[in-house]
Amino acid sequence: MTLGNSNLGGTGGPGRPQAPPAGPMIDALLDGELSDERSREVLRLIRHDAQACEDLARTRVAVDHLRTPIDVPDMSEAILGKVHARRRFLPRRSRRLVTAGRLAVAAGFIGAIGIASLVQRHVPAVRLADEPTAVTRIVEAAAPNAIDRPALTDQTVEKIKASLGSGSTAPSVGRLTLSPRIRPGDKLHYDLSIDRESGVVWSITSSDAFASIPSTANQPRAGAAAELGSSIVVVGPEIPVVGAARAEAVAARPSPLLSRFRPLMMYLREPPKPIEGDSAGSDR
Amino acid sequence: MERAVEQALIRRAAAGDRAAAGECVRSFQGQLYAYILRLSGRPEVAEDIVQEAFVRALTNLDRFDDRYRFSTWLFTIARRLYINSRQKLKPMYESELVGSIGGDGVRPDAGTIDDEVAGNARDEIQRALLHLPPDQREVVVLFHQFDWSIAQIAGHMGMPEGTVKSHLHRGRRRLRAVLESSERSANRVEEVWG
Repeated sequence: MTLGNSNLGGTGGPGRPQAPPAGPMIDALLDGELSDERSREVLRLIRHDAQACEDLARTRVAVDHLRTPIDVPDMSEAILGKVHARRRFLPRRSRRLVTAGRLAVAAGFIGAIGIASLVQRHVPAVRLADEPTAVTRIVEAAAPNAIDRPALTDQTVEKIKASLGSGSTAPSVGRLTLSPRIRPGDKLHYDLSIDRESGVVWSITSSDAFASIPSTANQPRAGAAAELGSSIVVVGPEIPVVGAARAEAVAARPSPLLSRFRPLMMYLREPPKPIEGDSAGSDR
Repeated sequence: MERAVEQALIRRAAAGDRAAAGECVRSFQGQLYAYILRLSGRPEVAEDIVQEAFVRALTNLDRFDDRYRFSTWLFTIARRLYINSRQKLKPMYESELVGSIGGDGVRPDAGTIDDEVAGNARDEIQRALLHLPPDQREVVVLFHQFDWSIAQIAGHMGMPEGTVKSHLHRGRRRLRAVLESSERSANRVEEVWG
């Protein structure tokens, strides 16, 4: 802070340099930034400025009031009680032991996961044979499973039917109109899809791709179970859609599973091209 | 409290010495309570925050870096707690505030004239402080009541020293203006009522 010498205390007449404002001088004084000599100089400079003197005096009184002692309640017992409740007064060594114990448990847990991972890597659940095996032998070994497959499917369907209750005896709920491109005798493969909300539906997944044709499957039947098999041979312009429980809803609203096969269904339902000379055409 | 004494006390408290922890609380609770009371103007808030600050400090003494003063650490914890609580507090009408500060209604016959004068002055300065924005109030209190340096305050409040000075000067002027205004009002009342 720069203070003048001779003419700083006055009010500054015409032609005389203006005195520095008193505010910053008082601030510097109250901030304790001035040496004793400077402080005395500032006090001398503002001596004739009644307003500055009053400001300084009032400010000093105000900040002195801040130092007035305040009645303080003794909170030590309450504080120590709370500290004791949260964390007992344990010696630092004991606390370190507790911390070390917690770290050890955590490390043990992580280590166990690591060991399990290593074991899994070096001793996998599927072990390769010690000697190479011919593919034909594997196929032969798998053949009995393939033979059992239809029986397993039947069992599964029976279970599903049983779980559907009395509604499962509901016969075919509708018939899927096929495109005339599908001719009687064509082989269609269908899959058993399970819609948890709506019951059981069958969906056609492809044609001519699967060879297994049960001889009984080409006859429409009333019961759902009778229609089960892995393939069907088309005998007419429609194939049954078998369902249960909320079968009408299934027919009205395609299930999410059926939606997956929508492109194929659209292909199957595609109306035939009108034959020249046939004005009626097909409405399918 | 001297630095060496303070460090020894903290070490004993950290080692699980309940008596040392109690001494520690009794040594610093006055300053801390005054600090929060000045900031909040509410004794119950000050009491809650002081207790919580001590509990947190004493349960985490092993984290205390003894290169710093314990009081500084304690003030930092209390300040954070106060800032958090301030956001949760409902606004308080000034009449309630005045009633909550020093208005010793429990013992109506207890005060002497001197006590009353001192109490009025204390209330007046507290009311004036509450007219200051929070940052200005805190800087003024730390500088003039606790004699912290500008650098210490800057570190504590996380702001540049220039900003601290600016808050200090403005806060002081405003404090003075509020007190003057209050005094003029009191004089007018005295003139009217004799």
